[in-house]
Amino acid sequence: MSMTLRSAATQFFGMPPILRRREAGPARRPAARIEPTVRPVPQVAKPAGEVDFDKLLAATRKAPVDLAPIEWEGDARQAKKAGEGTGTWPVYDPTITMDNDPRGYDARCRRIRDRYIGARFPGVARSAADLESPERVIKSARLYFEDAQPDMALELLDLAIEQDSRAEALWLAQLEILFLGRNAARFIECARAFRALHPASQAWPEVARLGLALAPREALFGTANAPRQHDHYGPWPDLPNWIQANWDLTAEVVAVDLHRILKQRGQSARAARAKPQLAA
Amino acid sequence: MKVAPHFQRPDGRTDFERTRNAVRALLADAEPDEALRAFMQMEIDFDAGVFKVKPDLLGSVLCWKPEDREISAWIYDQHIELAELARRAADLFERRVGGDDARTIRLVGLAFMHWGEAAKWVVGRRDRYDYSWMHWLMRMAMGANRQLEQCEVRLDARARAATIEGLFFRTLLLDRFAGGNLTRQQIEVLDAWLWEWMGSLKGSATWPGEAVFRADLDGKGGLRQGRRADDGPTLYLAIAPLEAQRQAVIKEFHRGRIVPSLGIAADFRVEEHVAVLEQLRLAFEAPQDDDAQRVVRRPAAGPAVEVWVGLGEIVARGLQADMQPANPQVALTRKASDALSDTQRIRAIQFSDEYESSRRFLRLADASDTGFGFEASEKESTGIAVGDLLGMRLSDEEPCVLGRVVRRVPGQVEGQVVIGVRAMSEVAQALTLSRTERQGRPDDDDLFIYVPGDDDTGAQDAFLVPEKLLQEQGPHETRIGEDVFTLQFNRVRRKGRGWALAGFEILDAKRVEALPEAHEKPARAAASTPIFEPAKDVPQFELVDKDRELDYSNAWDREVSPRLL
Repeated sequence: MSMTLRSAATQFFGMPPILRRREAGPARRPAARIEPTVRPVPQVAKPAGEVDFDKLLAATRKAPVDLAPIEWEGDARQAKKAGEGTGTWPVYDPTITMDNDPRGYDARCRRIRDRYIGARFPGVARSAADLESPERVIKSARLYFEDAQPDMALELLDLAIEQDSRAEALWLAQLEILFLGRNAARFIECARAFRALHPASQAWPEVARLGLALAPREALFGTANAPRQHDHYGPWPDLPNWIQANWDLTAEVVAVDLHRILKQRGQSARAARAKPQLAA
Repeated sequence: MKVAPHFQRPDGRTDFERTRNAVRALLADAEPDEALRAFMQMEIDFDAGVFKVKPDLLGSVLCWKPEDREISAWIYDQHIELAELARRAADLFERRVGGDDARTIRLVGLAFMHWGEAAKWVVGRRDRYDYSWMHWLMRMAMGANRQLEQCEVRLDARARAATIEGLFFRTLLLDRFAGGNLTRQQIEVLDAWLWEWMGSLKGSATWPGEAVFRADLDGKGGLRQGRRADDGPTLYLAIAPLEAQRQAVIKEFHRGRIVPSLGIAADFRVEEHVAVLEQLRLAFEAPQDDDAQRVVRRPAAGPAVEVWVGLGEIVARGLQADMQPANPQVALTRKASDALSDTQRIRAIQFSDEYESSRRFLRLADASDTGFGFEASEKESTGIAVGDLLGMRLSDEEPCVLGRVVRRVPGQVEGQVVIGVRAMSEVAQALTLSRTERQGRPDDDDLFIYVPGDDDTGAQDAFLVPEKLLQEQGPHETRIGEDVFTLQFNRVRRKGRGWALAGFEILDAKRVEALPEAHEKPARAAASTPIFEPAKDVPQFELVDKDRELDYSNAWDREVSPRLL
């Protein structure tokens, strides 16, 4: 049921109040303040053939156009926001986020998103708030990947990036998983978005190195440099471990141990059960 | 304004059946326009009546009452009847006004729509359609080159438009998912999506060279996967556009929006939508060779197999027994029965009766490498639903096998239920895990089910744990022999009703002698499986000479020393 708020007086028989206040007229504007102004310098027409230094100087302030990044519409838009035209790489601006920022959603949408996250990733996150810890998200994504569920890993990272697109670690983990999955098209797409949002990232050379291995013709990654020492142990480049896999393999070794012990225990129990019992 | 019929009431249903019979009689004699008009009017009435009861029937997650079942069965029957009626009318119209007439094509579309609706209401029934008529109608529409014609239909009090081809594929897709894997809410969600995806339900007569569903138009079966081996008439449906639509639904959820935002499906729990997303993924990723994915089923002779439902029952009755020799109680009972007093014997019989009555036996109908098919009565299968964890012992010598219920449909005979179980492990074992940070709760030490993975690395090993445990972040430890392992659950590999298959990582492993004294006690307590901790408040007694004087030649003479009684 919808309700309209009315003034109390109009609720009596629908009659307007007898003693209505005089309607306020348009607000009186204060007297205009006179600001000191600088009289513009009259434009003097340059004689034909003379060099226009103002125009030249204005042109030098613009950076040369880099064609590769502006192929993608969103990239160009973000680059402009971040100060395109300064002649250097745009500086990192923490206020820049992805267009689709969940923090701007209304309460109902946030609730549905929370419920979805909880239902889709049981044991990992109960709501969007749980995705605000990059370390935890990256670990979960790595585990999904290890369990041969790369789609779940990428979706989890997608959600976390939507939640906080400034978290560089999430982007890098996603790039590494895409690289491991040899998903060139999505790697390029993700690298472009990462470049736009984190133009000053120290990790870009690594991203470009992986990108070149995956998509050698992609202009975004530039040209290949000479291989570094220990760059390869095989046909594919070394990985930067942005997915935070544990270097210490003790846990894996112990897991083998536990598996073996429990297997033996199960076998002996089953053997004992299968033995014929003595008659009562 | 016309009032929608009340199908909750028997007289409302009878009235509608009368109208339906009148329309059927009209079809043979009346002019095509008149017959079509009468059919459309009846359809509108039927839709209005169903729309009135649908929210109550589908909106609740509770079990249906008998009257709900009755209405649902009636709606299913009416959809089948209406589809048959539309099919007959299309057949008649084809002869009278031609197969390319708009009225004929519309009746074809209506027949498809009602078969599709019936497939939704058939959830929980075991009927399989003979789709030969449906394929014949589709061939007729294709022969007249009218399969892309838009057909206006009315469903859930909304006018909708779809191509004949779209309605055809919608029916076949719904039929494919209506085999007992999806609940009634989930199949409604799927249908809501299919209406949104109508633009992607486009067929091609030639194989597009990618992953496809296909309908063999000269057969009588439903939707199959992959390329047809022979050159028979076939309609292919590419899977990639459907997967793109699925991804679009996922993106909408990321934005906090439910697809579609209107309709009864929009009110269902998000979990239902997520379950459908998962089922679709499995279907889309299934192998393209139909023969490859069909596992050979071996008919079983129908032995009664004892099953246990849920974690607690499986641990207590199934896995703990695995750790003991088979049937040890038989010997003890025989030995004891002679010496028991009457009261004790009555108690033993009562206990035995209660135990027996709580046991559940299902008849094993067939088995395959991946699972089991059971048949049971409604009573025997009470409380068993899709997503439940099931333990079973196929014979006394065999270990307890774990599985999860993936399908439950009524059997051919009234009152019979068919339960499909996918095997999970036959080497699972119960293991005691203790919280490392004890909270003074009874479940600080608890039995969980260890499910070993296929490989020897242990990377695929997991524990079956209660769902609520996932909310805890604390580590657990277990002692096996002289080794104590500290582990933490860190992922969910699968989830069902009240349980989760949780992966884990090992944080630490120590020998018992390396543990500090204070730490060793709980570890030692947790070592044995199962744990029977003595009650703390019970006074402690020790044996004294008086006890030794008693005659223990017959151990069953007295259970407790008279001094303690």
